[in-house]
Amino acid sequence: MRTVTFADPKVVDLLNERYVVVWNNHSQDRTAKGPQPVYTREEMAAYPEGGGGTNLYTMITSPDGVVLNVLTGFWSAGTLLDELEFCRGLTPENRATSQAARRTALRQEAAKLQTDFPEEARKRPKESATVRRMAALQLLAGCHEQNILATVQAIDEYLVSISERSRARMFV
Amino acid sequence: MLLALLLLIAPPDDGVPELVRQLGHDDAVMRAAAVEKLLGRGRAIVPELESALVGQSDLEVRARISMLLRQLTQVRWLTDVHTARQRAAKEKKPLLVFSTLGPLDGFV
Repeated sequence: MRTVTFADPKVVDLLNERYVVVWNNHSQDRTAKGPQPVYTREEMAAYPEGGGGTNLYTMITSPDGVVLNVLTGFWSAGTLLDELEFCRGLTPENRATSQAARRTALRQEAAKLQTDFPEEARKRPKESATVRRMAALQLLAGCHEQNILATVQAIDEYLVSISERSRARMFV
Repeated sequence: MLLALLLLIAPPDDGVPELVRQLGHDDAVMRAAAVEKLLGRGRAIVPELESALVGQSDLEVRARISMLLRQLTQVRWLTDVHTARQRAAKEKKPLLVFSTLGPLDGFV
């Protein structure tokens, strides 16, 4: 995300102007120092939206630190910008209703793609950008489903729970 | 006399070349003010800063221009959640927290 989504000029400008942005390492025992894999532009562009699951969390909070929106996985600049637009006007009070409406809209968009492109919809994800987009929309709707179910929390508590889940997964 | 008066009351030249020149000012307050003014201009001044970097021989000014270019073209990440929360509350801005398995400088 750092070198693709968070390097997009529109994302950079929006975040620098309107947000306070912080990078959190939720696995302090993994420093990830040393040689890193190098991906080509094509490989990075081919990475599926929603991929990476709970290794990647993008969270938006209110100025006083109440979690309003959580996305898990990799998301493109376009999707992230849509989500940041969705977050404008989101408050702890209207959060559940807004998240439910967003989930419904995303599922309707996926269903429309399936209706509009029936031939494409029968293909495998790696063969069709439409199928990949449908999958991404469903995964994104899933994030909003989780957001509806989650109780409103302060970001500090939420980060502790992410860290604990991450540690638990390491020892399974 | 009139010309001198006009020069005194005229607004300071805040063009990018002048602000870049002030990045090498002897007074640290002037240097910091120039940095803030240039940052305030946003991404639009990146080409001018890149040109200024090419012709710049003063190493300190070069370093400041490079820092400005990074700040204008990259997300200004904080790496401490507590500090970020305080800043978000003070500036009344929403907070974006990106959390993953590793530090900012450990990932591509």
